[in-house]
Formats: sequence, C-alpha cells, structure tokens
Amino acid sequence: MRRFQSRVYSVAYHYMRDADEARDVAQDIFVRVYQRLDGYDGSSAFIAWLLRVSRNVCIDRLRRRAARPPASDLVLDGGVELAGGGPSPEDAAANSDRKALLYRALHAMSEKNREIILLKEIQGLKIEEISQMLDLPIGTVKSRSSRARIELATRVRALAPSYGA
Amino acid sequence: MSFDCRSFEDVMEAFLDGTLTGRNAREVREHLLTCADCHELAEIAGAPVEAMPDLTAQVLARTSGSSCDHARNGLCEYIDGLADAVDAELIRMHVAGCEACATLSNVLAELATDLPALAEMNPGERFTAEVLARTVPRGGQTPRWVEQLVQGWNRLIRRPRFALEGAYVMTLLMLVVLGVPGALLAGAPGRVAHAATHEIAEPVQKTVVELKATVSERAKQALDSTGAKVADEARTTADGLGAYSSRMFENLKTRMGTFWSRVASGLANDEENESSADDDDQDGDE
Repeated sequence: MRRFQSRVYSVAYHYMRDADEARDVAQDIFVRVYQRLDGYDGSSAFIAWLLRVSRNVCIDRLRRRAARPPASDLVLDGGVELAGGGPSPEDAAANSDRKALLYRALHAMSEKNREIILLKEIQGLKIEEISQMLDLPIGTVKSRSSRARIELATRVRALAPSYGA
Repeated sequence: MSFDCRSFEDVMEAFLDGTLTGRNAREVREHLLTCADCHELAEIAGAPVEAMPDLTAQVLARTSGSSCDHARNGLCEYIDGLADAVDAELIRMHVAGCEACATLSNVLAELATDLPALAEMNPGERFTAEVLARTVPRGGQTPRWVEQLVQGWNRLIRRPRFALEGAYVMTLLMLVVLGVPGALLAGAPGRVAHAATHEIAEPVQKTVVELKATVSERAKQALDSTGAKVADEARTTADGLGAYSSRMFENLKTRMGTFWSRVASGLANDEENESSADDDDQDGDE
C-alpha cells in the first residue's frame, strides 16, 4: 500500500479536485482493493488494475456527489474548488510553480481530455490499457490523447507565456 | 489514408508507364515533391519528375496557414518519436518555418517531461494508519456476512432515491399486512380502535368524572373554611381598629383641652399686666 498510495491519491485528487475528499476516496480505493484482491487475475499489470479500480471508485463518488451536491461545494475562479481543512496539493507544491501551473491548466480542461492526460501522460498507462479501461477503440484513444495534449499545451501557454520558450 | 512511400511503390510502375492518371497521378507528383528518397528513385527509373529546387518552400506551401491543423495532428507523435520518417520530416520542416507550431512543439516537449512528476502526491503521514484501521478486523472478529450486510445497507442508504423507495416499500408492506382480507393482521385497525374505545377511553372518562366531583367537593369545603377564617380575622381587626381609634380620640381630646386651657390662662395674664402698666403711667403724670 505504501508503494502505491501516492499514485492512488494523485489519481483521486485529479478526479475529485478536493484534497480532503481525495484522501477519503483514496482510502475507499484501498479498502476496495483489499476486498477485491481476489479479482486481480494477473493478466494485466497490477498498476493498470489498481488504476482501473481507482477510476471506478472515483466515478462512483462523483456520481453520488452529483446526485447530492454538498453545501460546501463552492467553486472559485478558474474552476479550482475550495478545499477542506488540510493543505491542498497546490499548497504542498507551492515550491514548484510549474506543478501549480499544470494543476490549474488541467483543472480547466474538459473531463474527457483531462482523464486521458491523467491516465496516459501522468500515470503512464499504455494505449491498449487505456483502451481496455475506457472501453474505447485504440484509434479513438490515440486521437483523443493527441487532442488532449494540444489542449493542455494551449492552456498552459495561455496561463504562462514563458512556458516552453 | 495518406499517400506515403509504400503507396508510391505500389503505383510506381504505372506511373513510369504513364498509365497513372487523375488523382493517383497528382498524389504521386505531390509525394515526389516532398520525399527525397522517392524523388531520387523516380529519377533513376527515368520518370519525368519535377526538380526539387526548394524543398522547404514546397513543404511550407502545403503545411502552413490552415495546414497547421494537419501538422498539429501529428505533432504529439512527432514529439514522442513515434511518427514515421516522412511525417516526421514534414512536421520538422513545418515547425521550422511556423512560429506558432514551434512554440506549441516546445510546450508539448516540456509537458512530456513535467507531467509524469504529477503521478504521485503525498496523502499525509496518517494515511496508511487510517486505511489499516478500516481494513484490519477489530477485536470482536465481526462475521463476514455482518460486514456485507452493513456494507450493503450503507450502499443502499446512500442512493439518492432511498427515501422515495423506502416510502414505496413501506406502503406496499402496510397494504399486504393490513389491507388484504385473510392477512395475518387484517382487521387489526378495527380491533385496535374498539380496544382503545372500550378498554382505555371509557375507564379514563369514568375516572375523570369521579375525580372532578371529588375535587369540586374539596374545593367547596376549603373555600367555606377559608371564608370563615377571613371573616373572623376581619372582625377582630375591626374591633382592634375601633378601640385604637377611641383611645386615640380620647388622647387627642385631652391634649387639645390642655392646650386650650394653657392658651386661656396666658391671655388672662397679659390683660392683667396691661392694666397694671396703665395705672403706673397715670400715677407718674400726677
């Protein structure tokens, strides 16, 4: 668990966009993994299976949140949601302006494109694994990935004109 | 499907024979203007091909302006090194002459190195302990079916329509248990109402009437007793006040009499003094 908790928490944060809720969801993910470890048949890489479980738990939580929006679910400028008591990953990464910049650009992206970036570029899953996870043709994953990267690059450039110069 | 070197090799023989016409012939000519290898191959084979005086200009003529979109479609594969040789060369040349796509290419290249750094985040020191607390069975070794029951119930009550569905199920249950003739509890509401009327309401009503009479009698007795006491007290008080006022009157009367007698004696002394003074004056005159 210690080996993968940082990655799972990162995935949860990218889906939930709230530090406290991401921590809670990450715990749910490990509980789910603990309960369903028998379901891992070894046919794919463990990290791919783990990320698939993580994604399912996050989407379940997002659906429940959409059905019952919490009163504290405020949205600030730029689409960054108000986090709870603990320091947000943005704050924790304050020593890295580039990370904060990337978080802002990612949070401004569409859900589909952000998910592709998360799975492929950030978590490093293969096209085939993403295709299986999202139940999409490989060609669709490739083209969506390309569009997502272009969108992210455009947003990053708009936020920080010096990036990539 | 784009026209590449393999496509050219497939139709090269027809192109050399001069039997290739229309769109295919145009695609071959355009390909020979952008691919140095195929251009050289066609020249060796003796095909009448146009020279490639300025390949960069030719490529830019095909890929600049609105063709930036076409170049950007392959930009990611180009950055990742996955583009085939022809596409890679096309994109490289386009990027060299297009400032916007060059900037985009640089941003994409930096993102490719920066994004993997976001793969991990520290969830906090207590994270592992909190997860273990949720997964390690607590002292009592709760049976698995109980855990599953609790988890199922938790999942159930988290559903948005749980309240509506619960009300629906309870209504059906009430109908089945109470409303169907021959059911176990059929007629139960009537029996309950009868029992409530004859075994609860009537005794309570009787008790209340008796209690009311008793309270009324006690209140009357208490009132009479209290009235007599009050009358006696009033009489005693009135008598006391009468005697007190008589004493006060007599006392006042005595004091007033004394006062008037003193005033009268004082006046008499003054008249005598005045008369004796007049007599003295007359004696002096004489």
